[in-house]
Amino acid sequence: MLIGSNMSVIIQRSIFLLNDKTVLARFLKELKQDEKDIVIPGSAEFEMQRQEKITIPYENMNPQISDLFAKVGMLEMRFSPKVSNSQSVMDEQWKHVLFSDFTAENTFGLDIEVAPQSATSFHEYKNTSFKAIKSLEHILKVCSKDMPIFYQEWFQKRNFDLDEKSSLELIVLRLWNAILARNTEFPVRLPDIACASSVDFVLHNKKHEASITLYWDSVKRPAIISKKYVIQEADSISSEIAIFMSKKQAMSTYDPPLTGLRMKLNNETYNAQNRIIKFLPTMLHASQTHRTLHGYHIKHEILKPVGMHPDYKMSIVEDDKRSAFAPPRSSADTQCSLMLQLSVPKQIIIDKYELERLKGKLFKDFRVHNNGMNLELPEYRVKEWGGALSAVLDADYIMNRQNESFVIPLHLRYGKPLGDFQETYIPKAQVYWECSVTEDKQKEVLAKSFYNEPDRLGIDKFVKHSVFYHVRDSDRLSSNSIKVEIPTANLKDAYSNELWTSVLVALGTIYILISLVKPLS
Amino acid sequence: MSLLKPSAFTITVVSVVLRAGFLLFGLYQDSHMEVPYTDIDYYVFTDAAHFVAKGGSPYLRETYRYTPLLSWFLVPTAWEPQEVWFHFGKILFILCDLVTGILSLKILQKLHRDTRWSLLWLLNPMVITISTRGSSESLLTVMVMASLYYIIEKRYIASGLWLGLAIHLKIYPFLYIPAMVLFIDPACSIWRPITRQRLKFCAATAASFLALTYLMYAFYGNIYIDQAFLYHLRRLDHRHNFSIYNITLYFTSFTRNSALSNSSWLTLEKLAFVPQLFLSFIVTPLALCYKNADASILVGSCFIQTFIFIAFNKVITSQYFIWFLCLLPVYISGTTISPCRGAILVAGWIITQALWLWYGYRLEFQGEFGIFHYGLWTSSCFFFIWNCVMAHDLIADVRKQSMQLVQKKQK
Repeated sequence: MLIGSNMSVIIQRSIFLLNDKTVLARFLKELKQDEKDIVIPGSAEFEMQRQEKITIPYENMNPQISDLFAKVGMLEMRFSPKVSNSQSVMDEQWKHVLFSDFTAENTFGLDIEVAPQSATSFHEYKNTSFKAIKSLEHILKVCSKDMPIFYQEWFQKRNFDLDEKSSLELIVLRLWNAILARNTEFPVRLPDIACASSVDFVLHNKKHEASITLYWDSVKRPAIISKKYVIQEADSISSEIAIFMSKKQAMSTYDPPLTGLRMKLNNETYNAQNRIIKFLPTMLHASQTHRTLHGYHIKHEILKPVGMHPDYKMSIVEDDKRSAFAPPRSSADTQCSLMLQLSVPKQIIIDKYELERLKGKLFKDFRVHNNGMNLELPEYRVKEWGGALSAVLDADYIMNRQNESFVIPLHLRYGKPLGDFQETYIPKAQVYWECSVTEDKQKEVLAKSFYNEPDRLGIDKFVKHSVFYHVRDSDRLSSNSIKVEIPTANLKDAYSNELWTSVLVALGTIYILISLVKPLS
Repeated sequence: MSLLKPSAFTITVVSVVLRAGFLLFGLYQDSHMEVPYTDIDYYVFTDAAHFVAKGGSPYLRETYRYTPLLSWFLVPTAWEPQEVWFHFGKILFILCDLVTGILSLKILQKLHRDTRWSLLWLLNPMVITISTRGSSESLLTVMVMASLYYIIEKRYIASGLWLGLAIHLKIYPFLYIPAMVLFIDPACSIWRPITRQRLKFCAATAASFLALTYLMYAFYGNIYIDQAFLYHLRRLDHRHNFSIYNITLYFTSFTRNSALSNSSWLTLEKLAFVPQLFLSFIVTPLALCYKNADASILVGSCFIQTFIFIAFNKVITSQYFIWFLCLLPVYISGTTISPCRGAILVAGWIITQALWLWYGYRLEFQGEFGIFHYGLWTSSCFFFIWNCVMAHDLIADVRKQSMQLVQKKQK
């Protein structure tokens, strides 16, 4: 474990992962610190990811908020701004092994999931969930009248409209300022927060704490970690900084040993006498639950022409001809299933009855999560945020098809008639192998992994002793969603449309009436 | 000679063979081609029937908005082996479609008209496709035709029972009540409309409609009333269809206000029933059937009423055309419209539809922008105008037939 636990202290864990070991010497040369700051070199030259996890004890929180969190027990909030039109990132960047728990979650927009642990009835479960979601939205200043849906075994609400890149820093700071009882400075610099790829907020109810985790897909500028955050007037922050790199090529193993440097930064190590702290060598196996499947990636596209019935096509693309499209198996009795998770905004309909016809072909099994499906309703009359599809795919069916691809049929609802078209974004689907772990030793390793987040509400929540091998989307860093343009009418035509419709109906009525009553010649 | 004037038996055999061929092709298409042959609604019916077979409510199947009777009829589709019984509904609809044709053939025989006109239904590829794909419209047409057949036979209770059943299945056949009432005891004055025979007919209609509706309500409660009746009153018919009202309803569904009156209660959506019912339910039967005892005029009136009802409806889809198509053979057998004029009318009807379909395709499958107002709505207007022109010609035709009959009687 990197961090010791002290319930009254906010704990910060900063992890950097350097992908390319050939630049290590230069990297270490540029790694600097003075009495105030530590500078982690970051540039396009150093392929690097970063994660900041800040754990806040309930004691340090605003009592109203901590009471709500204690009552709710399980809550997760994720936010990723829309990534599009940025330059394409080289495939090699995916060699990293440490952060696949984050990269696997193909979040786009704001996602709040709640599973109240204190509820004694479903009614209470629903009310508490709705209340918690509303409170969190209030904190984040996110206005949305859409209702949550019952997803898997808890309530989920997603908002796909928060597409401003700057929203991430606002969300983080609003959350931080609202939940903390005292005025404590957020221990990551503002320009750094603004560049983050995603933020994750999770309650750890058993430990009476919550964590905010920021993740950067790519660090392109030096990260300055200020030592002043450690000792603040209101709260003290115990910080630990680690810089890792993989000893082996990631392609050769799923859990390579990581070597690196680490530094503890707290009010014991950092004081008036000691302003410069040494990095110490360290080594570990991350043994993360979510891993990236080697040898394959997935291509996402909406087939053209799109029309009102888009076909979402996913193609499995082979990178390495030697590997089979399957996860590694530690023993013969390991059971693996190919899974698909797709969430769609309310402009899009997943027709479960239509998908039923794909059962026995593409799907071994599936479930559509939405609150009923009134197919005729336009988007602006739908109360829920959207819907989701969870499916067990038949890998043989996919791999035996031409181009190793499959299609999920979708349908568009009518959009607001405010122009010629309305844009909407579909988060890219997640495709992964879910493998049950049968060996006791491996179970133990996974359970002990510091990287495992058992309190997260996600695809792994109710699956014990499993490892997930995600089929990566090679284009994820340049886009985490697919744009769909819905043709719409234009309200500026409403007056003339209604006027001439009325005139024609009136004239038609009179014409027919005359033909019915006029005397025959 | 027999080819030019086939017997009723030959017509029936050819019709059965054709339908069997379409059904088998549909099975092949479903299993071998990307685009399925089976109608999407057939899955809705059969899913609902599966729930019924398991002792549940058909309304457990979302988007099932019909009488539970339909799902009861289709319960065998839930039986095993599924590969065989799944198609039971299609066979039932084909049978109904055949019986509809046979009933029009029988009416033609009764009116001493050329029975070959029944081929317009029996050999009509559109009709055959609709029933073999699993659309339930033929269930309704058989009831309407049975009601007309019995009223012509002067068996008013049987006619009323069939009509009540048809209204229970889909509301619109209530349109035929005034025409049928006027047909019974035609000598009656409009000021003294109540006669024993008319009462019999109305009582039978009301009895079968109310009994079935009550029975379904007793079984399934409020959800039946809500889904089968109330839903159709409150639904947002905004998705594009042939109706002239369509794009206006799309705007109103967003603004909730009329663009003209700027009020939420005086919208076109709410007023659309007025001209529709005024013309199709009141004026047409009164103008055509009052003091008229001729069965062909009754059928002609029902044909025109249905035609106007659909033309002025807030929603028009191709399946609705089946509602008047079942009456076409009997109506057309006595028409005075010249073949040339008829060809022009039909061509215009098809061309205006094709124009709309072209824009519909560009929106639905090409996703083109700017189609709603200048493409779909304008072509809906052309289609509406042409429907009015057709309605005018059809009315003139039936009135001319009626006048000729009077003159014939006077001679």
